[in-house]
Amino acid sequence: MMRVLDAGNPTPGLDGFALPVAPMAMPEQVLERPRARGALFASLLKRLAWK
Amino acid sequence: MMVSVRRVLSILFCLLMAGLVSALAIGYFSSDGIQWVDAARVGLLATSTAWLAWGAAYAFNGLLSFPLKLETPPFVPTPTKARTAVLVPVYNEDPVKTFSHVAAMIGSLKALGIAGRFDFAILSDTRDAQVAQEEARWFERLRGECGADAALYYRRREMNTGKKAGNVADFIRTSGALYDYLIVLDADSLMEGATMAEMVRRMDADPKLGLLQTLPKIVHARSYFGRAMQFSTAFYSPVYTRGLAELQGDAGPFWGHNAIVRTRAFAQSCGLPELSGTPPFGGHILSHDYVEAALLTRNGWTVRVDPDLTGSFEEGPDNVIDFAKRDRRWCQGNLQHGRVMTAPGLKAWSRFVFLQNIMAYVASPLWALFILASIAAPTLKGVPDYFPEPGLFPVFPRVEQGLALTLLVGVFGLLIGPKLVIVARGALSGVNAGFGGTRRALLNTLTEIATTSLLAPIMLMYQCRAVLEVLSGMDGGWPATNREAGSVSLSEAWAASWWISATGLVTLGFAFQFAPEYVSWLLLVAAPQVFAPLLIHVSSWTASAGSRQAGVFRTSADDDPAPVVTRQEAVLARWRGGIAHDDGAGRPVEQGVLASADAKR
Repeated sequence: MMRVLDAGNPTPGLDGFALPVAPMAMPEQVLERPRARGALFASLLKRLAWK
Repeated sequence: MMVSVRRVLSILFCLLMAGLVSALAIGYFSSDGIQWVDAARVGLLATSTAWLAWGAAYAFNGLLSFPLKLETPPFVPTPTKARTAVLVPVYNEDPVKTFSHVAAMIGSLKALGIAGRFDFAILSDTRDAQVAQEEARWFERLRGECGADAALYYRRREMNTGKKAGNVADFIRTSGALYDYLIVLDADSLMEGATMAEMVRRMDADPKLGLLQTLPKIVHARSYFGRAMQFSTAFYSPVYTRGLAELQGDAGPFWGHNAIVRTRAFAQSCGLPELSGTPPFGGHILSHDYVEAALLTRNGWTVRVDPDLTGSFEEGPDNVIDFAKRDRRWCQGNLQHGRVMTAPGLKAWSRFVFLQNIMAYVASPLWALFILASIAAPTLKGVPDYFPEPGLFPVFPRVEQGLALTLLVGVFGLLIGPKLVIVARGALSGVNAGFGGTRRALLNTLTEIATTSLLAPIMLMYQCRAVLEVLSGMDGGWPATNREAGSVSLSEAWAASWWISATGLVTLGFAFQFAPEYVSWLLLVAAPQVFAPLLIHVSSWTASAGSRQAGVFRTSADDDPAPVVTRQEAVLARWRGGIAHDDGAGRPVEQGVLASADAKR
């Protein structure tokens, strides 16, 4: 484990206490359904345009 | 008892209560014929009563759920290979105070010889440059005193994207792979080292457990209002939370702090997107904690609240105005749950929890509408003569008065009944001993009921305003909570609540004019509103030494404060005492700096 704290360092700047780098992915979750009305309206428009 | 059986019985209880109240109300309202306005009134009353009954159902589930005499063995740290990060998100808070909390927690862990298992990360989202400077200065002090005992990190984000949820997510995306668990705190959180170790032990013991929430008790309350809340969380909340735990099963709550999460589960499940559209309903998710709990459950992780995890503390607002400000923020976040509750794949119970969160704020406008409809009803229906000459007071038919009284007792019973049962149970279980004995606990319960009954009509108005503001598209932003705010002067109270007084007066005026038979009932609501500035001012007074000695709102925090709380107070007193330090880190933070940051908020 990376420890940035060094008791022997008399005057470390805050940069010396930056978070250790060990990335973990955090994918965005799906919270919203596609808008049904919008989708329906778009499909109707497409059908009309085709005709 | 199976969770689903409890849920069904609780819902049936609410429907039964709503049905009974509706039956009484129909009898009362229909004495002069029933019309559409009566149907509306019955509907509003039934919905509001069902909501009150739901709160009572939590209490009854809690009262019936565990043995009368619950022996909680002391938490003994067990060996673990797990590494845990303790996250302390800060946002323009006083760093002296926040870091004194961190120092106390490290001290508590050190006393158990397990400080090396926990790394502490201060995650600053502070926007004010001066406060940020103070944070840097005081971090040096913290490092100087505790750096040899535990790893300490400090990071300040340039942009506070996603607010607190974004702050924690940023930590996971940067450093999450190092840690099995994250203990998520608030700037005012305090936890005993033994409690933190016990949380890790419980996470180790159940690999499916994604999040474990504790019930934080309020400490450091100074005002009468704050001490009433402190008494309430210490005396009633364990029972209500046990009921909540029994009803929610594996789909428990997350309150955003004083909880431990499994890093892998949280990272996999809780990356929050921005909602489409603009605030207040679009944009960043404000009340993110409940959403994160629902998403963990959606992914098959268990979310649990363990009320027996003692040694978990937080601070609360010390006056009604700060309480209302926090409530405004929570209101916007909870109403935003209307957008999230239809998310694909959520468990039905999670959706129901979102509905409860919305109802927690919509209930106030429903009560207000009920009052308005009741005042308007006689005009809309035509009023019988309740003012026979001569006579100063309205005369009700006997049957109506009896029904109205039964109705009132029933509705109030749902609010105060569970509290009185908690006192009775405390007498049998011995819990009351920690509150000065049964007589003192009963007196304080009655005082708390009186206090909340006086302040509830004022909070009703603040909540109505908050809901209307959110529905009309006003974004309340994200102001930090002023947990150390002192008492409120009468002029400040007047500025914040004159409109409530005016509303109370106008309501009474209309009632005198159009519905005199309701005036005596309305006084219960309108009188506290008329005197709102005075009540806000008086309730914010610092509780006198005499009242504390007399045992007003006495809790175990008065007689036997937790070691970590005492430790934090000692650190803060020493630091604020301004012990000289070469780099000036001993100087207390100037209040002007924080006041200026407050103004910017």
